[in-house]
Amino acid sequence: MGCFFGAVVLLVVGLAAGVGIAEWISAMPAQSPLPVGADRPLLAAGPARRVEEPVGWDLFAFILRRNMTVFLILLLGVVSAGLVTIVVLLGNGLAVGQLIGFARVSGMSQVDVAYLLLPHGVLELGALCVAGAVGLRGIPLAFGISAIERSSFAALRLGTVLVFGLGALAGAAGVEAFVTVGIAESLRSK
Amino acid sequence: MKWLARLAKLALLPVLVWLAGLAAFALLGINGLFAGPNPVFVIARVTAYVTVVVVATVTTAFVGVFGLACGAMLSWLCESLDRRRIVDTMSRSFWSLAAYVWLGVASLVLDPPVALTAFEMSEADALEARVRETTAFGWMGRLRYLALLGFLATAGCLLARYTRPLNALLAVSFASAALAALLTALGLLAGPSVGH
Repeated sequence: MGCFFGAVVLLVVGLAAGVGIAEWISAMPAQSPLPVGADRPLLAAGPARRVEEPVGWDLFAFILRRNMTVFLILLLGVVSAGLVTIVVLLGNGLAVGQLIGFARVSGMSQVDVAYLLLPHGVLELGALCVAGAVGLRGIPLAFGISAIERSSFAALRLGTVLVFGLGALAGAAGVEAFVTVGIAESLRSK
Repeated sequence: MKWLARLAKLALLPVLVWLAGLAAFALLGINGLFAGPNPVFVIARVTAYVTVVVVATVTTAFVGVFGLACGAMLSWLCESLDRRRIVDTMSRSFWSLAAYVWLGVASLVLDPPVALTAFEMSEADALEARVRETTAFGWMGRLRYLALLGFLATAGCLLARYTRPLNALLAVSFASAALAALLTALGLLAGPSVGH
């Protein structure tokens, strides 16, 4: 329970830092990101390439695969004294925080941001915190390295955690691919 | 001088030297490529720094998996090796990776990367092209397998001090296979990026 709380705290710290960074960047004097020089015509790079975005089940599979990768990397904290877990949790919090910060700065209301993030975010970030809690148990394991036995790893119940993670992240990916996309479309057409 | 001798005996010294080299390489490379006060460059720098920190810690985790696999194989081969010796071996094997990153630092100092312009930042392949053009990044790409081989050879030699050489070789081979399987599985799971 203490490790889960620690994982949540790390994620929240990253989130706050991300919002702060987004606001710091937005407060910088505005400069055009595309200064067109006299020797450089505006369309020198040619017509913009159309990027194919996955939708429906393709989007579901894409999100689930990416989140499962993060989930597994968080578990690697067990063999790295929790280091990977700490950094990845902070990094994920930072990414989500930046997203929230830039959305707020661009004028999106907090209710709209909540509509876009909460339906899938609670399940997704909750599952990542469970993996984080397991990864953080690498810290006591590293300190007692001489006493590590096979039972030390068995006590982590990695199989149960993996099954839970797959289920929770599949649910979150389903909500994100089929519900959040609909909410985003309705907000765009407002 | 006593503290210097004590520092040299420290098992974690190679990891610290590697980390210092990686930090210097990241600073020179990132600040060289994304120079300027434009918010676009600031976002690029922050993203790149976070990526480097993640890469550094994930590398230590992969070495942890490697050490765990070595220990499992040695235990299966009925070798009674203290776990601390495995940690010590993994840590000292970092000398090869430390030499690799400091070589990169030296080549970046000799031939620093040309900064990207704000216009180039909007082009999809500009960063990739600039990385290819920079001598240091090119050489780092070519030498990475040599650094990895150095790591494996050092780990094998150090393990052979405490175990039978053939068992050490088997442990390193098994751990390499286990790590390659893990990396392949993670790569397949993550899949290609959108739009590529």
